[in-house]
Amino acid sequence: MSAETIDVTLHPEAAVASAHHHDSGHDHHHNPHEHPTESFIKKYVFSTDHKMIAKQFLFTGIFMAFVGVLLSILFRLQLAWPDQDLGFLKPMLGKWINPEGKLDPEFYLALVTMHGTIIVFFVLTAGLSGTFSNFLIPLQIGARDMASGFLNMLSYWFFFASSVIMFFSLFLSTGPAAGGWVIYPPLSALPQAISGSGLGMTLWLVAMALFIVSSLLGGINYITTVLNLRTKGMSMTKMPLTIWAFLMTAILGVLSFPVLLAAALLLIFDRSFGTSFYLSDIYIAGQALEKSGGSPILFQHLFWFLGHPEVYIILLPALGITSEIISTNSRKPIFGYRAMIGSLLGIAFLSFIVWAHHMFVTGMNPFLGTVFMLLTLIIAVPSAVKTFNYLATLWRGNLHFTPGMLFSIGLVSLFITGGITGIFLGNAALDIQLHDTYFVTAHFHLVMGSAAAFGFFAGIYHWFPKMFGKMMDDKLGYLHFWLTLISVYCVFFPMHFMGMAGIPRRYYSFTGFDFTDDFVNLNVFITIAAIFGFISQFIFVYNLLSSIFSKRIAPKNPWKSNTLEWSTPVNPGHGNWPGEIPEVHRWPYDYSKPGMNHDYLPQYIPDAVSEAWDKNPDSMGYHFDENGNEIKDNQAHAHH
Amino acid sequence: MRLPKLSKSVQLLFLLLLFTVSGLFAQTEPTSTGLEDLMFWVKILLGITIILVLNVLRLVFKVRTEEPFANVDFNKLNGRISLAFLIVGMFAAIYYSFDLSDKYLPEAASDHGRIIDNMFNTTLIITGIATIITNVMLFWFAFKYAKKEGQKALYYPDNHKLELLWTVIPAIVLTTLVIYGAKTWTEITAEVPKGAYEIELTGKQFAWNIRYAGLDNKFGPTNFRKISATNEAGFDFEDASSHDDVMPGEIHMPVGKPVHLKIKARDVLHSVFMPHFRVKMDAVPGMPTSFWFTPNTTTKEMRKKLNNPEFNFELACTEVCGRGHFSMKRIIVVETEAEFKVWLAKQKPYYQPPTPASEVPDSLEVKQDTMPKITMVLNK
Repeated sequence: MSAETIDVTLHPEAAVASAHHHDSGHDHHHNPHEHPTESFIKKYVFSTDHKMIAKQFLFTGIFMAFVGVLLSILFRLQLAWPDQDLGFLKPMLGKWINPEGKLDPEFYLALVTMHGTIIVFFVLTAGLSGTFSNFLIPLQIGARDMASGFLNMLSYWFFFASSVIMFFSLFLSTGPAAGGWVIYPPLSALPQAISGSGLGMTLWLVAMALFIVSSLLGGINYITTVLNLRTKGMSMTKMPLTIWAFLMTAILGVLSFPVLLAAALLLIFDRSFGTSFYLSDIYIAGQALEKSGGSPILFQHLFWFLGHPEVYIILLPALGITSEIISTNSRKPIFGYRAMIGSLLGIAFLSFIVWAHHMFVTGMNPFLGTVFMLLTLIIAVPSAVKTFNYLATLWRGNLHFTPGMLFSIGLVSLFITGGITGIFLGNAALDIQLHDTYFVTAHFHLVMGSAAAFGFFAGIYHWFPKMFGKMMDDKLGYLHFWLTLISVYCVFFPMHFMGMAGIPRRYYSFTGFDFTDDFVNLNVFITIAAIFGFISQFIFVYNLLSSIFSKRIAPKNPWKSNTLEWSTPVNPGHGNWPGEIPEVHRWPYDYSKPGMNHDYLPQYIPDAVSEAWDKNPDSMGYHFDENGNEIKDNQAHAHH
Repeated sequence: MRLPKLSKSVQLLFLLLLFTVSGLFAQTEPTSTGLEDLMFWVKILLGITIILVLNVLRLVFKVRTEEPFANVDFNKLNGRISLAFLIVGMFAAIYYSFDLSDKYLPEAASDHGRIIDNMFNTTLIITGIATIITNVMLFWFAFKYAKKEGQKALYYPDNHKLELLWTVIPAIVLTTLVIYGAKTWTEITAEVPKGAYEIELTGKQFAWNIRYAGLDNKFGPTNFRKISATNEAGFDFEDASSHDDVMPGEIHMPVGKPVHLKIKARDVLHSVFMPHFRVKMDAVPGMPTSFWFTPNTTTKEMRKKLNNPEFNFELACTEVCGRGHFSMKRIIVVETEAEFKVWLAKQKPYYQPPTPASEVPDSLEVKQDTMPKITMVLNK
């Protein structure tokens, strides 16, 4: 911990979110030897404060989510009404709507590709981990900041540059990348095959390379911080499950993203420098290419070696967030804390050895198919353990339905309903029929897309008071939750039926085949539900933005939670705690302990004072010595 | 300012009105293929939203004079909505699963397809039960244990026996499924039986080339460097074994005999998908793949079974391959072995001995006719 960081901590009012908070009464509490107020640029733009960086990730993530979902609404219009004149989209899509009002089939694929890329990487990886790993790791383990604030800042700005490039590629005249978010070569390698494989694909690869740099910088920082900067008493088995989830996520990212970078680099070589890692025996656009000896399957192995852990990079933070919120709002300890950690470790480990279940029908050796089927289906066991532990936590609880809690319960439902279809897809024999159909689309949109998005929402509703010092409107939160849950199920559940009928993914239109024709009407229903769900999200955006500027000042510990972040001031400054860092004396899940009046007991309360604390929680600080004597914090804190 | 409070009966009337009006619209639609059924839910959704929005608006306007939600117990309310969501959701999911069951898993027309379908149904029953039980518990608990005055949560952090129980039971169930799946998978991917009829399918942007070995039962060697407009497969015509190869516009297969698909791609990835036969295998440039199976129902039998004289087996592409991905259709005809042999014998070889009169082989022209109409869209 550098001396400078500690200095900043003596500056409790330098809270980022209090910029609009004109309470001049606080201004003369400034410590005499503090720094002058940080410049705007240092505070909001090139900030090294993990809390500000988290907010930067949050808002960039929300913007990208808006873009990603909007793209999906565009292609849903095409799927629902393939014969309709889509001319009204011309002001937005320009030449991609032809004079007859039809969406260009190649641009349809571009929309699908960019929807997937943006949501998977920019929203659910960077947006989710970037926001909550950054925000919660130092606050919940009792650290002043990340191990390296500078690397953390770089991580955001690499992500920002990557987002700008990816977003920009949407406006190219040849269109953005269009070969699916998995960018399988040769389609992604040959501009002759599809126009999106021209400059669009180049920018995709550049953006992803920057993205991977960002992800690695972030991941290394998260791991180092969790392993080295835990406060006194915070042993690994006293860490909140959020931190366990963020740690495992970071490890998965650090181990798997470099492989994607390697895959992308080889693809760049194939595209621009005449190599043939992935290309062989190709005759296209009236010409036989001089490429031979490469294998497109090699790319798939490399891609899915990242791609499968990526699913868990998305899901694990959401599961960690949910564990924390469900326990807090059930007013019950999380059931089976160690089993929850064990299942996290199990899922993380297994996620590295199941990648080829995405490739059962690529023609790989059938024996490998058997092995990967076995390993894949094993993942269902730790997943089942997690589900049952959530249910056992809710059982005989006293459930406080905050919007965060509702989204967590919604996540568990989506995790069950979406996860269970993985048992079909992981089975090589069943995958023959289901591979690349809407069954897959339904599966991963429920278990990965929607469940992780629910974790994202849950986290925002739950930690908003800590992020901005204000409370969100919970009534709008309830409305947002129920509308979102209903529309998510209405959009994705019917897709199972389509998948079972064999309807392939990434089809521009279903009218060409007899076997796809039956469900044309179902597509109308799905599109209506999707538009409905999209509109519902504006309730959230409104709630988020208006709450930041509202007068609903948050109490210090609004959810009566046990974890350390709630011992900081309402608007913590850079350095998080104005005085000493609290020490940890117990696990984070002492809710509703028998014999106590209050249904929570924070981690920083030693046994020696728990009785006195129980009589009057508000009278006490957060820092105690070993004998249970409260250590009065420095003068900055004494003022409050 | 205040909006008038809508009484329950007015809200109900409003819903009824919405249903009737939209019902009228639904009746004017000529098609009746399940859309009305689904529109029912759309209407419910719309109705609920409109009522919710109206209520919220009313309350938002009310907020200026009084705390609008002072008397609402939101824990209780959310608990009740959970229960309602569970009941309506379960009903809808189960109802439509049965209602649409004739549409999904189209009648299997191959030997292994029936085995796959049986396994699918077994898995569906097991996972269906698990999904229903856990979702019911989830939303039921949400209803039952919603915060109440005087309710205290139970401090119950751990129970090793329970953990063991819900580790071991899923493990046993999954082991069974893995063994079942591995056995089926191994059977499906076993060595091609001797004497299987061979068909070569080559994916290209955006059509499938179909090739039979012809009378000599031997595919002529090909090389992608020799491909041209008049040499679709890249034959080496100096090798006489290529002279009798046929490249028709339709796939024909004999019923009850093993068929071996030899799958190739010449530009990007494609994937052979024959939904009725439960067949799928990627087509990879530079790496031939294969799939063998036994069709067990002829097209004629299937037409009778489904009571649909228009029915045809179809081949589609399931690996995204470019703008025409959705249009790579070929018709598959399954017929008796005798009919198949007659058909095959009637096909003209692709190779046309060079004559000054015609440079384009007939078979190419045939292919143009059988191309799906949809490809017209592609010529922008």
